[in-house]
Amino acid sequence: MTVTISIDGKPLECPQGLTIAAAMILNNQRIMRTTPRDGLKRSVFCGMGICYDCVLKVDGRANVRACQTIVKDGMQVLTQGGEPDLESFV
Amino acid sequence: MKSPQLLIIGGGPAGMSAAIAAARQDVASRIIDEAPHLGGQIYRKPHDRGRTDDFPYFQRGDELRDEVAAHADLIDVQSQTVVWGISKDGKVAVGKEQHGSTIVEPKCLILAPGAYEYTVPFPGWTLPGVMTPGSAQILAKTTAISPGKRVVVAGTGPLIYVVASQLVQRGVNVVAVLEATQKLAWWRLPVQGWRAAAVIREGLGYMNTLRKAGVPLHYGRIVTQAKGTEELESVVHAPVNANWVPKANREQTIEADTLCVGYGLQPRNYLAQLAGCDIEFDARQGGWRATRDADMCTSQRQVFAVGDGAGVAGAATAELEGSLAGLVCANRLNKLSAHNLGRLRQPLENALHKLAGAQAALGHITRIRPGLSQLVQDDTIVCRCEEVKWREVREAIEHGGTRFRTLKVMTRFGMGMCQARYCWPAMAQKIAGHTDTPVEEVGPVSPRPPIRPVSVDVIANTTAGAEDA
Repeated sequence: MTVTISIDGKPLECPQGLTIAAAMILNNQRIMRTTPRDGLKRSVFCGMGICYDCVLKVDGRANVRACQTIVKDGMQVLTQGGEPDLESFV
Repeated sequence: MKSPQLLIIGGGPAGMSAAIAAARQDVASRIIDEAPHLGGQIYRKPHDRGRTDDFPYFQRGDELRDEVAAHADLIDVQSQTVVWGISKDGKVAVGKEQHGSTIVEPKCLILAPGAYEYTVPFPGWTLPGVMTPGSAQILAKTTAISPGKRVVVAGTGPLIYVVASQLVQRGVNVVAVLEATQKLAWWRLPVQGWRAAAVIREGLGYMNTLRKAGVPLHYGRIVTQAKGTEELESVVHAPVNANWVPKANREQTIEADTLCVGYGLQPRNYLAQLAGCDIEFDARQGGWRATRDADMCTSQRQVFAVGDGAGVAGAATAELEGSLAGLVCANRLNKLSAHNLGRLRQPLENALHKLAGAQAALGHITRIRPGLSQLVQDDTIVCRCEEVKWREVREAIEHGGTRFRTLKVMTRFGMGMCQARYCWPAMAQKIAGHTDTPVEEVGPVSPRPPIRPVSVDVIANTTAGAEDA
């Protein structure tokens, strides 16, 4: 069984039950965000939900951990960049 | 469902064993666990893609999960749920995203939060492609996805061998394993004799897997730098002396797109601190942990601490400690007589004693050495979340900051989403060395609720009133 999610607007078909992080790495795409201070790229670090380095925007919610979130059909994922978007915290 | 008087935080081997031991004495409990399925990190339930036949670990996880399920009338499992606060008088804030929070007041509280990796800042460690060994293990073990095309595994401790051999079994191209400890230091294990037999047998199995796959294993070398423009491209490593001080003029470079690096595990101690339990510094592992007595009870009478979260000793020890705490709680809740508690705890304590020798030897071999603190340079990021450089921390120290609290206010160090979990343990050692202060004085983090990032609505929708009182 596969599901289709979108990452920065591009569709990605992946096996059901994977985390967003696993789906992205399977697709050779491992950059999840750009840091606000130095503009550096970040990916999964701890992989177990503690470090929050792999956060991205999922269906309008910011700071969602890619390593802890299971893909769902139609999920809209945006890699997170620069300053946090305060509106998406609400 | 009976109303549980026993609350267990963490659904790994320690937490599950505690619930099972209590349930056998007719004590109802509730397990709070962050993951979608019980198992903790070691027994994390595999995805369909993951083959499970080659890892005996999965079997034990299934056995424990089955036994918890068999006691469904007594054990209430709350998955994907976090504890974000505990008050010193024993109130526990349990929250779930998009649901809100409940304040629970259990008569007995067992903390079984597990451990996480001890990481050390070094130049380039924030590059995509640099990750903890555990992170690569989760990918390979549960989903059979390779973390990269050319993988270096480095650090110290049993986990790096487990991870390297699991990656090899999954067909991942592991180009080198770098072990910081010198080969000779491992003599401490065989002298433990039969008590270390199981550990040695397991270790030799991993070595054998690596040898068969032709993976080079280098002792006495540490990673000094990760290089790459946007992502990891190469790993620089150097031989070290017995204190793990690298010999800079003998650096070598390996091309790699993935580096799994970690220096053992450390207890997750924030819950115990919030609950008001006394903590002590564990020089062997470089972190703080709750003090406890032979009953697994902390300095707070109703709070118990078990498993790797109370001192890293592995899954077998975690199960035994969990079972023991479960029995002691059954006695406290008047479901088990003192006589029967004495009878039932004896075999657990004997087994714990048997495991302790090998664990202590292993802990000594892989203990954190001071040379690791020398890897950071002025422009190295030491706080991943807030992107604080060592220069900024060093200057704050020159302006009088010495403890976590002052440095945090001066630099924003440790104020990010990981809440200082990844930066502080190693930096406490670095700052202690830099300022010639005992690390106990540099101090632990003072965690405050919420101890995990939770949405404001989870806190705002808190139902007061103790449903279990």
